[in-house]
Amino acid sequence: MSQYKLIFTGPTGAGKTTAIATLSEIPVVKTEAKSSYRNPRHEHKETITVGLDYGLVKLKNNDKIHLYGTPGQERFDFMWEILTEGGLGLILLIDNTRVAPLEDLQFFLKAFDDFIKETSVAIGVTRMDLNHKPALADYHRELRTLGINPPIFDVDARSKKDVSLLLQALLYSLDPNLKVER
Amino acid sequence: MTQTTNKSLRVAAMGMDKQTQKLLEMVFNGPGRGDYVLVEQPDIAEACIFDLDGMDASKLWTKYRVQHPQLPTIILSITLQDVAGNLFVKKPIEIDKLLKSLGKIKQMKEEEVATGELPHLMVKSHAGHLSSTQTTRTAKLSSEIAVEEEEEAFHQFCGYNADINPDRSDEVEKIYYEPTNYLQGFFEKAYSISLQLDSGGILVEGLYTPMILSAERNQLFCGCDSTENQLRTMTLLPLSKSSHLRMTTLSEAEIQQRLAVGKLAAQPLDSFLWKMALWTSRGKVPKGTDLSKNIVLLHWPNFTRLIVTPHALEISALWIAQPQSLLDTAKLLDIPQRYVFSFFSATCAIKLAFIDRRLDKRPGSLTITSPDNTKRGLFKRLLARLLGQE
Repeated sequence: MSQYKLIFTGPTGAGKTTAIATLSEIPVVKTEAKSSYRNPRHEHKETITVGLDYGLVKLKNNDKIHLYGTPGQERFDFMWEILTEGGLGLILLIDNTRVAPLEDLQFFLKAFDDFIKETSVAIGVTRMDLNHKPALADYHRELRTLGINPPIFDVDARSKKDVSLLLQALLYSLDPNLKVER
Repeated sequence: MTQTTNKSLRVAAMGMDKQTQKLLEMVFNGPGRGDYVLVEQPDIAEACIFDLDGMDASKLWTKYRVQHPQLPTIILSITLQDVAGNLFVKKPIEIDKLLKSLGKIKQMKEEEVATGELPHLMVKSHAGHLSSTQTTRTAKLSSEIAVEEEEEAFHQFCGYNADINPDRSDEVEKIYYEPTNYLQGFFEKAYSISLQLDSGGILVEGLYTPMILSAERNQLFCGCDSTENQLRTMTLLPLSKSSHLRMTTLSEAEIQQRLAVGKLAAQPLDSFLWKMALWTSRGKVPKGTDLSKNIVLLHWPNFTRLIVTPHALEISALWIAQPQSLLDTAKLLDIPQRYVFSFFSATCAIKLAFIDRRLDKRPGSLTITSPDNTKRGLFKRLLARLLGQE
């Protein structure tokens, strides 16, 4: 039995906890605390993640994939490097209703640059139904300036299908010649 | 006039009303052209399409089966008609399903000819006593009818074409289609014009409902009275020269005005064009596509909002990492060519992929560079898990 980990990151409110919950076989271990400040764009969100979120996927050979969600706030970024060590890849979720989603994108890609170079990244843009700008075309333009071309999808973090597709795309980015093992 | 070839399957139509007969003629002159030809009498037919909802249909059926007990038959009806040994297509007729059933009969006929088991040499038996050939056929049809629904859905998008031998021009010719002969070409043109507009969109009229395309918003507005089946049927039929389709440029204010007046529902334009291209191409590629040149995929398609055809993610990952030709892609990934072709046609329709005409492909061994395949076993198991196939 081997242990592996997948990292979910992104700004506060992007849907990391929810995305992990859609994949995890166990109830997600949340380390959330009541937020003293209520972001007007996230009035629904009463708590923020202050530690790690944790979920688990068990494979048929008993291998375990640990799903870790980073705390969204930058003051916790000291944890990111430790957390990514030995990780399989990165799922980056960007909230399209935030003030400057493209800057969020740049920030997180830069923060996880070394890890992405070692592995790969797949990006999900959430809440595009609430705010359709920037459009995916704008994200693609931004990514081109950064010299990378990763999968980037419009994602509903509550949708298992969406999160699964994002993860599948990450796996194929890591190895395009993957075949399903039945 | 219907184009016939030596290989065209002769099909009789029985018990049809005028409307269904007209639809059949359109199918035989359109997507079925060259493969099937309508004949007037079952005596000279190799297969029959029988409408069981017509006047005196059951009497006509009994008489028909006594006279033609061996003739492979497709039954049309609005309710399920499970008549052993016959194929069934539910009304309203979906052209894909009709073509699929015809394709099965054609394939069986070809196999019978190949094995020397010519149908016209068979001893006729009464309807209740099936000859051994018909028993075999019955079993075969029954098993083939039990195609998984999911697979069936993909056939609507990717067709049934077997892999071609690129050295055989007759086979290569079969994988091309001309988008401009179909609704797809018209909408692609409207999309191209819309892309050049700073604002506003294109009004398309002449269909069952007016539609407004806005590339800037990535939205298509159309009347709620349209159904997916209606649209799919229209995408499959070649546009006639007398087509009344027309497009007009609308300003943003004019769009707003029309949206305020009419009940128009919005859907993502790229998803619409993608689906239309899949329906129309069904595993073929636009005419003129060079099969041996590399494909440039500008970026990953937004798969969460598009129809994901089989192997589409693998193909995307490969083309992003290592551009390949269509034929080499199928070879490298060891997948049927029709999945590569249909994916390419869909990506072309939303201007996401094109042929790299600059370079001739360098000869060499075909391999995929995988950065780290030590974890391949793990990735495979995780992928199987995500696909529910573990």
